[in-house]
This record gives sequence, C-alpha cells and structure tokens, in this order.
Amino acid sequence: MVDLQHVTKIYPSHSIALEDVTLHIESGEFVSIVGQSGSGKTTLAKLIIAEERPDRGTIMIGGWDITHVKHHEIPTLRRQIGVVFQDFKLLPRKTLFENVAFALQVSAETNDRIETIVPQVLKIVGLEQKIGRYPDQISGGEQQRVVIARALAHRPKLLVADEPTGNLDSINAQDIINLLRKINEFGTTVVLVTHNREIVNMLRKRVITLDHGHIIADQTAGKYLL
Amino acid sequence: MITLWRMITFGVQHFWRNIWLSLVTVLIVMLNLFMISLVVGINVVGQQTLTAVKERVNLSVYFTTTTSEQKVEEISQEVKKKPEVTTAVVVSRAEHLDQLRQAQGQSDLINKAIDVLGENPLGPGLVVTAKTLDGYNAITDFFEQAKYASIIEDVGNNFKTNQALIDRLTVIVNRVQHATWWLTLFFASIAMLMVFNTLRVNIYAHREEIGIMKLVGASDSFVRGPFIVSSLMYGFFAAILAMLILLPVLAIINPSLTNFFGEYNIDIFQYVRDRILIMAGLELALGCALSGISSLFAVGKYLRV
Repeated sequence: MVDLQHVTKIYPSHSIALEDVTLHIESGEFVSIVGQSGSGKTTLAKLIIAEERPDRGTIMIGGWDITHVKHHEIPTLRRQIGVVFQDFKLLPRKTLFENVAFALQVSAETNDRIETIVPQVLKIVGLEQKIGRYPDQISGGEQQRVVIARALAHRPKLLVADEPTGNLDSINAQDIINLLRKINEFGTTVVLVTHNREIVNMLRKRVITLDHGHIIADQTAGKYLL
Repeated sequence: MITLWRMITFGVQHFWRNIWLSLVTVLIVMLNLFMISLVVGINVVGQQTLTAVKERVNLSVYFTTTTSEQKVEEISQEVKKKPEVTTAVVVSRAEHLDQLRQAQGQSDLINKAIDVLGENPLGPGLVVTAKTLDGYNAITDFFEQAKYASIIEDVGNNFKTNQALIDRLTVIVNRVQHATWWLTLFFASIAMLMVFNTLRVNIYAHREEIGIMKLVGASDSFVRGPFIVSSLMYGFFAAILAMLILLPVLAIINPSLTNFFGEYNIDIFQYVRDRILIMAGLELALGCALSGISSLFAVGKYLRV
C-alpha cells in the first residue's frame, strides 16, 4: 500500500527531516509511526499525502509513484487517502454535514449519494444527532470524530492520522483510537503518527520508530521505545 | 455541471455566512467605485468645459464700408468649402453697429460719434468657426490672400493677434486635456489597488480554509470558484450602491456646478441621466471585473498546499 525507498527530505534551512528512509506498509496494516518531536514523523505523513516532496528517493501509494506527482494530480491522490489532523482542520463556516459532504463534493459525487453516505459515516462516529451544528458548537473530541467521518466518506484504502489525539484528553483519545481500530478491522490501512506512549503500547500493532530522520526500529507488535 | 453549480452555491453561502466581512468588502469596493465615478465625472466636466471654450472661439473678419454684403456672402460661400470650416455667418453693417452698441452698453459717446459722422462707419463682417482650433490657421491663410487685401480692414494686425491667441489656447486646451486624463488614470489606479488590497485581506482571512479544502482533495478551480463567485457578488452590490449614492450626490451638487460654469451650460446630472444604463453597466462590469480578478490572484497564493 505504502512504499518508501531511500527517501530523504531536507528543508530549505538545511535541516534534514528524513534521511534515506525505506519502509513498506502492507494493505490492511495498522502501523504506528513514533518518535520524539523533530524526529521526522509528521514529515513522513506529509510526504504520503503529497503535502511535501522528497528531495531523494521514491514514494509509491497503492502502486502509484507519487514522487514527482504533478500539481493537478494531487487532488486525485488526496481523494483516495483519508487524512486526520491534530488540529482537526474543519471548515468553520460549514455544518458537520457540510464538512463531511465537502470531501465528496470535491470529487463530483451526486447529491443523492452524499445524502446517503454522510449520515452513515456520521453515525459510525456517533454524531448523527449533531449533523446540523457548526464545529465551534461541539467539543474537541467530537470535532476529531467529524474529521474521521470526513476521512472515511470516500471509503479510502489508506487513512493517515497525524497526532489525532494530540489535542484531546485521555478518554476522548481512547475513543478516537478505538474508532481507528474499528476502521482498520474493516480493511482500511491505518498509519498513525503519534508520540503518545500509552496508546502505542496498548495497540500492540506494528511500530516504526524514528529518530533524527532515521528509522531506528521497526517492530511487528511493538512498544514505544524512546 | 454539478461542480459549477456547487461552486456557485458555495460562493453565495460564503457571502452570507461571512456577512460582516462581506459588508465591509462591499463598502470599500463601493467607495472606490464611487471615487472612480467622481474622478471620471470631473474629467467629463473638464472635457465639456474645454469643448464649450473651443466652441466659443471664432474668427471675425471685418470688411471695408465699401464692400457690399453680396460680396461678403460670396466670400462666405467660398470659405465654407474649406474642410476646416464649420460655420460662416455674414454680419450686415446694421447688425455690426448693433453689436457695437450692445458691447458698449448704449454709451452716449458712441451715439454722439455716429451722429457726427452722419452714417454707419462700420463695414459688414463674417464670423467663421472652425472644427478644431488648429483649423483657424488655414482659415487665416485664406483671408490673407492678396485678392482680399483691399476689402478687409486692418488685415495684418487683427489676424496676427488672433493667431497668437488661438495658438496659445490650443496649447493650453491640449495640456489640460492631457492632464485630466492622466489624473483620472492616476486616481482610478489608486482605487483599483485599494480594491485589490481589500480582496487580498478578505482572502487572507480565509487562507486556512483554502488549505483545508486542498488537503481534502479539492482542485484549484474548485477552491477558487466560490471565492470568485463571492467576489462577483461584492462587485455587483458595490456597483449598485455606488450608483444609488452617485445620483443623489450629483443631483445635490449639480445646481452649484451649473451656476459656477454659468454661460458654458454644464449639466453633469443631465449628462449622467442620459447615459444611466451605460453607466450602470460600466459600474457593474468594473466592480465585478475588479473584484473577480483581484480574488483570482489573491486565492492563488494559498493554493500551494
């Protein structure tokens, strides 16, 4: 599903975010990318959704070489990957329904399909009762669940969650992780970027540990090492 | 088609859901359109005044008392054939005397002088107007021909004085016309920059939303579309408001303007009323084009996500 070969990313300030990183994630896997701040884990997530370009190496997503993906092809790529962000990134002037629907509207889905899918995904995350509210009218945990619903709307094969629990208390964080596990059980590959030790240790799934832009460990049913 | 419809819907939604920002933007675009209208209006008044000044310039040719009016009429027909000439009106001896009396305010001195002479001392005249100020040179040359030397009074001095005056007036008129166009362009450019900046600030306030839209898979055009639709709405409402304010303002200042220009008969309100549809169309086109193009460029900056 995700294949990185000798990927290096250097930011303009000459700081090396990732250096010669090679990894392969199979379809249907649940992988946690862990590491301290500045280890390069968010850069890795950004490379997967083409928010950043690698300076060296190749990146393949579902058999598509996105190393030199053209600007006009990026929307097509992103419609096939669900993304969950730490800071939620919901559209503030749109209702929960409209926020989720937006992910489908950009790919020209029909109104009938949108009317069917959006309530379904909002039900999966337990927010079917708050469909008409705006993001600032719900809690942080609920906002993150809307983001997951939006990421699920177009039934992606891959879900990238970058610190999805970073702004949440432990109860809400647990809810979000349970949701991600459920999504993974339905066959979606999940890449979880986190520095939350408890969550990683509890998951008992594959853990890739990054340190200063290098992979220092890749455990099949691992724990938080650092 | 569905994508276009969604962009329009989002644009309208964006306008209403950000109503305060929209109102402020409409207000600023409106003020700038109003400013452009005023500057163009001042230019129109200036051009009308210059045209009126030009129309009032004419060349009066005075003949000797022995020249018959029939002869003057023949010369009039001759001069009318010149392409530079608009009109050539014959002034009879009696009319000439009346004009002099009116000019002197029925002064006793003039009447006494005429009584002493016992006859009208003035010859017939010919008042010629040219299509352009430059045309007077050619007309002057026409009357300076040797065949007219004996029948035209004070030929040399009169023409030379007029010519110098006309040349000076031509230079002034051309300079003033140039200056007013440059001033219009200058102020209009400032107004356009202000509209562009307002739209830039407006879009800046939505830069994060633009980034989010891109991250969930929206294409550049799908992100741009609604912002352009909203901007067209800013331009539309701003143009309508500018027209609604411009007309009463003109109605209020028009009497003072007409008074100020007096005999030149400048009526800016009438001018605008006669062209109300064209002006409204131009305001709408300018408002929408300025706002639309501004947001097109302003959004582009935040699309590189």
